[in-house]
Amino acid sequence: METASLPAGTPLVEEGEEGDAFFVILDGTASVRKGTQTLADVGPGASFGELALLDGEPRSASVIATVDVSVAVLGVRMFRTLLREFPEMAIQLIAGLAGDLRRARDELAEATRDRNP
Amino acid sequence: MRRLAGWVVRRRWFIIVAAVIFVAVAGFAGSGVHQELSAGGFDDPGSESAHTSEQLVRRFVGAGEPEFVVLVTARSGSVDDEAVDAAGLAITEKLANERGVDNASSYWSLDKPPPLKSRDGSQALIIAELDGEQGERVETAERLFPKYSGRHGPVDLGITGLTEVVRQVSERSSKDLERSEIITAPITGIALVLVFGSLVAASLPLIVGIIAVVGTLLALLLIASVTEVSVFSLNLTTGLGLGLSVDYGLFIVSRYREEMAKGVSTRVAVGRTMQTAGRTVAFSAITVMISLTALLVFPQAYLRSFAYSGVAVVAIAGIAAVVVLPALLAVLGAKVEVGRIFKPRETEGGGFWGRQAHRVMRQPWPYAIGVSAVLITLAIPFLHIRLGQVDDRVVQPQVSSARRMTDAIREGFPTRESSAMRVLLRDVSPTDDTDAIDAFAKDLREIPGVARVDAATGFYPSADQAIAPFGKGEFVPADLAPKLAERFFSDAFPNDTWVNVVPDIEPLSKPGELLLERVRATPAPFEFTIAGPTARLVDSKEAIQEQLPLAIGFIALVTFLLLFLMTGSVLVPIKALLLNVLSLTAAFGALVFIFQEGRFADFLGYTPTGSIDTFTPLLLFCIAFGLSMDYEVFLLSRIKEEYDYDHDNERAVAVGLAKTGRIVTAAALLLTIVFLGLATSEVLQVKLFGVGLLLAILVDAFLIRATLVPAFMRLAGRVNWWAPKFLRRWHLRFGIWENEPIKLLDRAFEAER
Repeated sequence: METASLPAGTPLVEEGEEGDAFFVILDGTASVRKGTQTLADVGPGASFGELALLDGEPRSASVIATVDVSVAVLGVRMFRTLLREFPEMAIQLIAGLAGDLRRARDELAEATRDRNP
Repeated sequence: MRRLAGWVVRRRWFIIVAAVIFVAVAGFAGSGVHQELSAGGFDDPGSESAHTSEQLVRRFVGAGEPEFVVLVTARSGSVDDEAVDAAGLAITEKLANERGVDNASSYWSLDKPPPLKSRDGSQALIIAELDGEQGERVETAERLFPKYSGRHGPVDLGITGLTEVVRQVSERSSKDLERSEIITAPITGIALVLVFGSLVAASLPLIVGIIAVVGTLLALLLIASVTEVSVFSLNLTTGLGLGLSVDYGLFIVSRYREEMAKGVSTRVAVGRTMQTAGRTVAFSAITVMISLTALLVFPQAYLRSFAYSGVAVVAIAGIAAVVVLPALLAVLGAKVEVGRIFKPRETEGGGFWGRQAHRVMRQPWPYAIGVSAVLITLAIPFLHIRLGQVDDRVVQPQVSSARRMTDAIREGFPTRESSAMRVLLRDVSPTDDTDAIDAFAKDLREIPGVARVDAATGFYPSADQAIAPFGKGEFVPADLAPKLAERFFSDAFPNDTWVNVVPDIEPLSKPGELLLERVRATPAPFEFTIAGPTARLVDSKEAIQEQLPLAIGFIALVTFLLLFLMTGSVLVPIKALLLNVLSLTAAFGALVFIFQEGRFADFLGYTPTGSIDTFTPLLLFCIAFGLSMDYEVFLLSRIKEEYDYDHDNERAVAVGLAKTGRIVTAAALLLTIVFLGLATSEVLQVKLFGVGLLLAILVDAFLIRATLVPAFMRLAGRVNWWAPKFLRRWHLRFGIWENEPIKLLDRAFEAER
């Protein structure tokens, strides 16, 4: 696993590009953006980039460093090998994705309720 | 690697200037390295024969090796004519008084013993021992050669002897080296242009080659100041240096162009190249270096020298490839395409190698069995290998006067005086123990292959030899030839003596070895040890046999570990080792079939000796093993990379072969050119080396890679990648993972500016 440091304002991943790695923020913060909309701010310990590695689709959002950041980088080969070797890690990842999906559903339901009170 | 790439790009000009200064300094200092290198180093300094030789020289005058032999030919009449007699005596005396000559005796100075006269009476010998280490003796021979060659009054003189042969062979080897460089450098240059399609790109691997070769000259100069280094290791320096530099340059420049073609910046292209090809090159260089390090377990300076020069040249080539070459690429940017003559075909996307992999994997059994059978058939002659040692016949008569003189002695004289076995008898008095010496000498002369035994008691010809005017097999007492018997007595060591066993067979041959065995087994009431060329050969072979398992075990273990670190598999490294051994034994078998059996001797220009130089298979093993592993690393790293994506073994093998196919083929063909250059040498051991490496590389890069690798990978299926759980986890933590280009790392790299 490699680590890299990037200055504030640098895109860590860009929406639409091919997925080539999984990342964990070690230091600093970044914002997750889709188009012009900021979806979330993430900090140390947050991970991202797994979706494109799992389904082979392009990146679904951009992640931009808001301050200087340090990230751990796991290439696609190492990522897949780790998932095969440590199923508990795969389960954790799935749990994280399930949580995201649950939140997205709740938000969708809430948005639908707001639109149709 | 990325950090190194960042440093290289930042300090590119500094690196280039430093490399230019290094080449200039190393070239200037290293140009004199030839004078510092030894022409010998073939013996095991700790062997019984070396120790005995040392003891003999310390105790007795005239018991040393006949280092310098002058063949005196009467221009007319016989060597017993008055004028010839006077000239012979005068030349012997003059030679004995030369600086660096320990003593000299001759047919004339020793009261005309018949063995020193040719059968037809027109030629006789002057035999001299030289002082000092082998390097000093070679210098003495070089100084004396012009003074004791050609016409001298009523006689013609010609020189041979151990030191003179070694001197002429090493001189020839250096000339061959220059010639081979002159022939191969431009051909390699043209081939590089054909591979790259651009003049600038093609020149880059050559620059790495120049740094590697010149740098190694400096390294050898420094090493030679502390230990003996063989002059023959220079040939390896050029061959391996140029070959590997071309390999490494090819991999790095190809990858760089591939990345540039994707439209990234120069900086990112250099970073990606270093992260991928650079890492593989560094890994491969370490593998080759470790293979060569195994030669250090042997006691002979000759073999150890190849480890010094090999490790130095690979290390410098590796450093030049991952430091200087990327710095040049960073400066050149897109200009690497300047001088483009044509656009070479892309390396990606199947091609011949991809199709070939699929073809083999559709029917793996016929390919695996068929090609293995061919290789095993080629290897069969290796079972009958007869190991010998270099003698004068290592060079052809037309290029060596020492060879011509030795041939004249072989044909014209009844015995091989200069190849005698010298048997040291310690605690045996030449005055008190005459009965024991007499009985021992009589037993020795009965051994087939012995022409005569000389001892303190007298001279014992075998049944079919005569010492004129006595009859065949008739004993001549010492007091009839006192000058000849003097050498068996020592004032300082009155209780020691020695016996000279003169053969009439080739000393460095199977019959010679059998003779030694029988002499060693001769019963005697005292202990004795033997010196001389045959004993040296046998001791040298024994030392090699003793250390061989250690060297092979070391190479196998380290290669296995390195390949495991790279692949995380247990079976793949074992398979790689076995396939390597198969390709090498096939190449060795072919060498035995050609050189030992004396085939194509006129075409290849060598004299068959019925044996293969003991050191050659060993050197070939270490060097060819390293080179094969080089290709293996390039191929397996790519296959593994693909396999990690989706665990599709067949796809990974096909893609791996396809992606590396063109580059490995080009690298192997370029190395072939370099080894062809070595094969044109007039020196047999260099020629053997060239042909052996050529065969090993061709078998490995084409036959093994195109058929056996895909066949066995297909047959083993997923088992290829099996490893126990604890090893898999260990590999995940400590293994070598070649990262694919990652955009975030590119951005970090750009941001480092």
